Amino acid sequence: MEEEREWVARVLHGDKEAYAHLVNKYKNKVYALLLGMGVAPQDAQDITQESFIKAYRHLATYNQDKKFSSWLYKIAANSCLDAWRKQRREILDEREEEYIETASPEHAYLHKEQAQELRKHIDHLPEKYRLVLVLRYIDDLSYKEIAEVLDLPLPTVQTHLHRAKKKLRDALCDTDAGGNLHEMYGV
Amino acid sequence: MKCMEYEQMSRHAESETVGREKMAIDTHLLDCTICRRLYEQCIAEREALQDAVQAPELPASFTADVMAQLEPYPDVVKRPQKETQVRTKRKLKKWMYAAVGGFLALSVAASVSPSFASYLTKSIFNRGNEMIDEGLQMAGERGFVQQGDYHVSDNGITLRVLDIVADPTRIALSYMLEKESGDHLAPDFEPRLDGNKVYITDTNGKKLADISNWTRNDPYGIIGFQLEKNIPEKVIVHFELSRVGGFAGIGAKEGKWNLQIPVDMKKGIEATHSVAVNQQHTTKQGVTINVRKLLFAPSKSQLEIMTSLSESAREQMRKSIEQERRLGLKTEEVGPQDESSYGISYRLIDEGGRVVAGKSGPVHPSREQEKNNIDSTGSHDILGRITWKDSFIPLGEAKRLFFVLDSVDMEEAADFTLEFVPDDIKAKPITAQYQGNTITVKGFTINTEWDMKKAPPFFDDNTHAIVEMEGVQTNETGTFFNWVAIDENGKAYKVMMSGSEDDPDASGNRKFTSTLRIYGMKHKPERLTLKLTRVMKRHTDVNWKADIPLNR
Repeated sequence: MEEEREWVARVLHGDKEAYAHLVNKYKNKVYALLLGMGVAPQDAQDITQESFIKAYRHLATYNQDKKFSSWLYKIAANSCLDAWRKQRREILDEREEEYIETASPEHAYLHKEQAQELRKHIDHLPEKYRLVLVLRYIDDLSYKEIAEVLDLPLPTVQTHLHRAKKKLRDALCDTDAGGNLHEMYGV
Repeated sequence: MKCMEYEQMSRHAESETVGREKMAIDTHLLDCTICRRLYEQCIAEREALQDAVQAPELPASFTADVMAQLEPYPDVVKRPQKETQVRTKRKLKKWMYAAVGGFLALSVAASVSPSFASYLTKSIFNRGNEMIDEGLQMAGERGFVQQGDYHVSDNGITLRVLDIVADPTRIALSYMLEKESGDHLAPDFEPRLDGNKVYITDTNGKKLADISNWTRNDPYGIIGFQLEKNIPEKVIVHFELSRVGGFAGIGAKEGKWNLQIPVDMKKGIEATHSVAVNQQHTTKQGVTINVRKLLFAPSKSQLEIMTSLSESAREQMRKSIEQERRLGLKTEEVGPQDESSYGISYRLIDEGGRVVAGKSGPVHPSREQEKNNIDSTGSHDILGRITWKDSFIPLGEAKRLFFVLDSVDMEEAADFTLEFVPDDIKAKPITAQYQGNTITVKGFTINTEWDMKKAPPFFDDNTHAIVEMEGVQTNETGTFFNWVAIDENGKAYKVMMSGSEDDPDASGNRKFTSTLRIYGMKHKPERLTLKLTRVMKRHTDVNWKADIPLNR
């Protein structure tokens, strides 16, 4: 936190290069967040770049009592949500329905591909659940920080996360390898 | 306390429980193998999800591309640029094992990875490496590191153990997985996997400890072992690995890496001494606290405390549980682990009154819950006594130390009932007061849920009722865990609670929001009664201070 405050202060005092530290520290996290939200790689890279530029330009409004990363994720998540809103909602809603169908027993997977399998299921979660899940696991954000990033009440964050995991477990149960997340990871 | 449902345990595994809820769960886990298994499952699940959301890295030119589009802020005074080291924070995984009925935690933060070449001269157990706890940093700084050339190769991968810190409380070592090209594999390996074993024996092959924690400090992995008493002067660390460099099979290499590393314990043993304290006090709530000894080892100071309950306090607890059962819960709904719990909070202060260590706070003067804590393990004996070994970063050169008891937390029978019409509650939330706490019920829904299973019956009806609650709790009252729900026909249901609390305000009051899940309730009753049966109370009227003689 201290180190980041120092970087932010230096940027605001005209030392542009100090911002590179923040970009280096968080670029892959933001990118992973956007990929996790289902954005295609090239678009994710563009939105990551936009997010950093936006954050830089609004840096004076950033409340230094909060984590810089939370504020940055909020900017990135909002950019992504804006992009989503531009698309037709129906397409996204249909995906959730489709998902139920594709998670059929024939949908076998090999042991070696478990992480990819899990990732694929995450990609098919409804956005609101996926967003909370990805924020939680990309950078160990606390429930409270996620609530701040997404402007959601804390209980909603908990519920979304719980449902996201439940959907993942159900989806994994439906594969040939069966089992749940726990069995899958050998405990 | 009652056994935990997945949701609560999941929060606990994700470090989302604090204060008394955390304390209650930790204590419960000492005794309950079912919950401990669930806990380990939740940790594994968290790790699987952390792995699954990892993404490839952006091209190296990304930062320059962003920077090229930015204009400097106008500055009043241009300052000379200071060289700041960029820290690469890796996603961390913590393996946590229940060891002798206790838990271990390695505190970890960001990392600065030293270059490959520097490892020969510089141990990663050094001051300033935030990936390891401060105790290991201090032990490293004071020269308790053993380095050697221990390696084994198979399938193009070399497992190389670099340096080892050892004292009678623990051994920590770092290793790398090198490719022939000079690159490194991720230091991952799954200690849970049958073919992967890392453990410690004496020179006769008698096992002394299993791996207790693991973390990564890329390209290094760091493994820790917790040691119990009577450690010989020489021990052997055994690696028997069959799959390394990946998690859940991703990026992993199969092979056979067997390695034995002798560790000289002599220096660590010689630098360790313990001070017998043996001071005992029984609080008026019936909790006996025996501060037994304080061990000073190079990598940690470890306070051993035994706590127990008086017969009358136990009787009181049994009664409150009985009362709960009399409400009509079926016996299978109240398991043998359904015991009440208790805990203590304390500080260690030096001769100048400074807090040098503390647990389960509030640690004065800040509201930190812990001070300088590294880890804490606990074990029950057959008499129900708990021996806690609380470890702190080495306590240094205090001339005198005092143990100060801050509070005793105990579950007590509660007598509080809320009754409402579920149909009306959304429009007309109800609020009630209980011993200075405010509790508002603001929602009731039936949650229709089907769990799919592999074996018949393939669908499990997991439908349950959800009650939304919020309010303000005082400092004296813990989280309201223990509720029983009773429908209009007098049928009792088990209730599971999850939720969150804000940080306390200046007077110690905490806002909370809770979700009560009433399992088995599949209909919306005309009337619903919620009975709070037990509550964790914090007693701060404990006045005990024990002198720890340091003989300095």
